[in-house]
Amino acid sequence: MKFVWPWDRKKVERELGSVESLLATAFKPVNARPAFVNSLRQRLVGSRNPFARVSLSTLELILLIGGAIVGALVLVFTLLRRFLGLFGGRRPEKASAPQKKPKPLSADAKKRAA
Amino acid sequence: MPELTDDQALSKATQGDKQAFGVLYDKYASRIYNYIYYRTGSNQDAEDLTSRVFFRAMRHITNYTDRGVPFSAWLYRIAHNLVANWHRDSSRRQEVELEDGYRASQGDEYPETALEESEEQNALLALIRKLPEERQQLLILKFVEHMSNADIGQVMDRTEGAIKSLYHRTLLSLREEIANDRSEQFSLELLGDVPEEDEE
Repeated sequence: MKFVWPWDRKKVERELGSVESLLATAFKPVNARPAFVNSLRQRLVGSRNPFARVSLSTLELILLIGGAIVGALVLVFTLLRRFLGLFGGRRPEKASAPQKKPKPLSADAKKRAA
Repeated sequence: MPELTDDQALSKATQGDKQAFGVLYDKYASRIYNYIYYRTGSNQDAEDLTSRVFFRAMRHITNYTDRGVPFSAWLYRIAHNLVANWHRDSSRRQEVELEDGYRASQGDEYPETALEESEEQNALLALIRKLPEERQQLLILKFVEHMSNADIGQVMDRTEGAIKSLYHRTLLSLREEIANDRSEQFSLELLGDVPEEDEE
């Protein structure tokens, strides 16, 4: 860099100030097209994650947990019942059930049979 | 997604959370676009390169480690590298006039003055684009992003003192360029008489 004489220094500083002013005027913030910004966001982030956490209210949470517990209990009860049914008590057999006595034939029927 | 601070969003994004990356995108998209726009002078290229910056950032964000440098500095470095590649591409080396389409409108009340100013600004921006890359980067970060020397130092990986010195040298060389060019484009009253022997 060339030496700047002390009596020129102020002048140079003033001119550099002018250059700064020019730069400040020239560099204006620009706005990207909103369509471009939105479409790029869509391409980057994609649609909302379907598995994203949903904030639930307390009542919804209680209902959800309650429903899950009841469902689990019903399932356990049903399985237990099946299991006990397989290996536990015997069901009464059909053969041992009391058989109905045949109705006595009427007089007409006896005649026809003869 | 509930409001996230920068740090929270960054922390989640580094774990692969796309929505958190979206929060960072919302914050920095416009700034990166501005930076690239002034480095390339074209809206179309600015859009193309901005897309590439964010796709590259998203691909590598899981490797991001906090070394005390702001996240924006990391993004600006990606942008800088991509713009440098873009400039190296010889097919794109032709001079491109700055498009006025999306620049903030000014001086609408006096169209002639506005046009004059616009021409002058375009001439100045054309001169700036002839400067070395690092000087262009410095000017854009200072005047478009209004960053401090310390912050610019973090982006450009230099000390604050080095940035201050580079800025001063950049102003001196611009002053000389403007002096050479002033008869055609620039308002004389802005610069006054510029002695050419003052400068290197």
